[in-house]
Amino acid sequence: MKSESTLKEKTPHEASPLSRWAGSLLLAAALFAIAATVTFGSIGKDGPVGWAFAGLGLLCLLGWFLGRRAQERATPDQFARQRTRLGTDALVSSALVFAVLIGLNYIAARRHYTFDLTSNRINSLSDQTQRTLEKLPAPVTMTYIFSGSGNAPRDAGVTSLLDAYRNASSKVRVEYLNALRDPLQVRNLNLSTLSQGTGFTPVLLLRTASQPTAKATDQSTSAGENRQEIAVVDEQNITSALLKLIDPRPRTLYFLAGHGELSPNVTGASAPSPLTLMQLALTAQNYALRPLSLQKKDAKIPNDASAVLIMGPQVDLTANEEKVLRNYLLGRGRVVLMIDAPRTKLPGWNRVLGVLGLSIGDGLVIDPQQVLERGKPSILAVQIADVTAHPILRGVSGAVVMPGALPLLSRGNPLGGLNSTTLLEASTRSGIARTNGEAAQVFQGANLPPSRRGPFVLATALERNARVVVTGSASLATDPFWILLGNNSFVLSSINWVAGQETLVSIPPKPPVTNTLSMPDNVRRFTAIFSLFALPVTLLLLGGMVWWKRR
Amino acid sequence: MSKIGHIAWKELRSYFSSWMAYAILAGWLLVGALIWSQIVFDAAAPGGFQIAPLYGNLLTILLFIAPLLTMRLLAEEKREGSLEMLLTSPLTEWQVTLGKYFGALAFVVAMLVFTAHFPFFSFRYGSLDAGPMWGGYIALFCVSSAFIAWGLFCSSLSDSSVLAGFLAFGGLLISWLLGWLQESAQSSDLAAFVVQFSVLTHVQPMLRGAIDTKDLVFFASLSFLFLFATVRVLESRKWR
Repeated sequence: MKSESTLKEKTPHEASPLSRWAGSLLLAAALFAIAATVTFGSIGKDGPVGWAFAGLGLLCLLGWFLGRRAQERATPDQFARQRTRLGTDALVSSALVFAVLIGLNYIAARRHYTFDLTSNRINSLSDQTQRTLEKLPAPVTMTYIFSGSGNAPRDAGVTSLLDAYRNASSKVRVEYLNALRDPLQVRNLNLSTLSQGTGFTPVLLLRTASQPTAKATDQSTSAGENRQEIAVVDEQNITSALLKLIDPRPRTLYFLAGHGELSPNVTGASAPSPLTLMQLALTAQNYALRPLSLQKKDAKIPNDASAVLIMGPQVDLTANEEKVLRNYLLGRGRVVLMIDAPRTKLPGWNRVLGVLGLSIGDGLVIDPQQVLERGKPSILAVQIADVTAHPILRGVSGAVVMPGALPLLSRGNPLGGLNSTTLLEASTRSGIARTNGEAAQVFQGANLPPSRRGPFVLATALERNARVVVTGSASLATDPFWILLGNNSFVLSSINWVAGQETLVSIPPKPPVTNTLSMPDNVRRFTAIFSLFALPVTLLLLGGMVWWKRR
Repeated sequence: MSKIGHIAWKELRSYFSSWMAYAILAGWLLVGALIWSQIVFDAAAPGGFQIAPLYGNLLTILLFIAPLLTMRLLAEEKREGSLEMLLTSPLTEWQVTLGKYFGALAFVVAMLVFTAHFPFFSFRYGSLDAGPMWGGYIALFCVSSAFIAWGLFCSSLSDSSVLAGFLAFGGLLISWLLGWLQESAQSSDLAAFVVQFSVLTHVQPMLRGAIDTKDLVFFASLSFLFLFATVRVLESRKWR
């Protein structure tokens, strides 16, 4: 009787008010902890509000602890030791499981693999990028400078692309900088491409510690770091910039001049160039562009030439130029020769082509199967039959648009043991036309003489000691055609292959997948009725029946 | 295993013998259908349509449905006193917990199966990139698994279904809201750390069709952690 009254006296409710509120205090501590975390996180600074929440949380935790102690003191327990042991077991095993799970997630965050289920593998980086990331000698910081309201850009495409780089390599660090919030920090970056006007163009800055062997380039700073700036943030540009960071030495491309060729504006002349976009793309890939004249008697191809580009010559070669080019091709020449229909006969150029076992057909290739648009029979959209046929073709993002394509005819074996591979070819329905009337005949399927019947080679690659690409159209690289289908990737891939820069072979942009839905009206009505009414109402009726049965 | 399966089957049957399960299913499908109708009407736009918003919104609805499904699982047994009977029968705490967990998960899988007509119509009358669709279903399954485990844990804490439901919903809401710190995560290391605990952070890549092993490990860990915690709570009756 006495012991019962003693126990009654010492119930928790009567023992201490703190013990009664112990559970609530623990809950309050958790809420204050969350509030403090959110406050610190959203403000991003050690503000007083956050500290106040943290302090209150600690007070509540202390209150809970004292309450529990009071509770334990108020309720004597005969099995205290056994309970303590079981409780300790539970606590220790919980802590162990928690630690194991944290460790597991820590490892999973560092060694993980992404399964990309999309049809165009939009969430994956290309093999070329993966190989480039593996070669990174030092950590690279990617800073995306943008303007906006938040701390991160709203462009999900950019953030997911940069995340993919960060996930693919532990050496890549990504950070975002809002130019409106941190103008001083942006100024300290000394960006060369930052727009000064009212409009702000986002920029991606890549930085890495400079390697002792690396030679400084125009985009390197003297502060012991190499840097690259990108205005158009896509995989092609980022990977190219990474390659430049790895090996910042520029390579030189020479554009042959003096024969009415198309040429980029590399001399600073005010005349507009038809190859502006090509020039920008090549410069972005760290090529230095120079004009080349072989008209002097002692002229020769410079030793530092990564490749010589000949873009649609209209005037014939002199004997000396022909000799220099011929010797260059028979040696270790690196030439991209793009031919446009000449206004006059060019026997010198034909002899140079003869070295490659080629001659130019008389007339333009008309291909009813590969025409870009109706009414313009001389502009072909040549499909790539087999992308594995040559390394150049692997990086080409689509059909190549060839305006005024000339056929490349075979004229025996190439000299110097060069092996040729056809890159682009017209179909068996193609033909050679010299006039509009003949073009119409080809379209109508007229019976042409065998020498004017397809298929015709439109672009070819030759390789042994030398590396040469010949195409039957130079205009495909001009600004109006550069942006069409796979033109820019074809030209860049060709130049990179010839220059021995296979790693810079262009990465074609991933074609967006468009989900389409074209329902007939009756189907549309059916789906609406089925999903909005029939299915939910049937389920509600079933529920009603169950309720009625069980009420 | 058969004991777990038996409890799971009993739970699944008890869901379908209550009008509430049908009401939940009807509501779930109605909201899905409303979003789907919007997608159908927008499909004529030049850029086509995206299926990811459908699954994104269904994920948000799970936030409300998961507590409704789990709040009774253990709290009701406690209130009615049947939990003592269950735990004194030749069943371990793990078997009871897993049985109830799989029962609730099976009901959510049934809910997911009922949404299969949305992608079916897309494939039948158009073209659809299957990646985000599969990613959406994987995300829904992973989130359901974690949500149910959390709901079950909350249900084990109290003998009041309503309290367990509120607690479960509050926790899920906090986990969801932590994802809002993503903007701050770029400038604050603490926010970047906290954001990793948000379900939203791990679901977004899945909705784009990218299934990352680290996200799968996160959801598996979360589910296991709460199941383990539930077992510990059930065992605590031995030493509390």
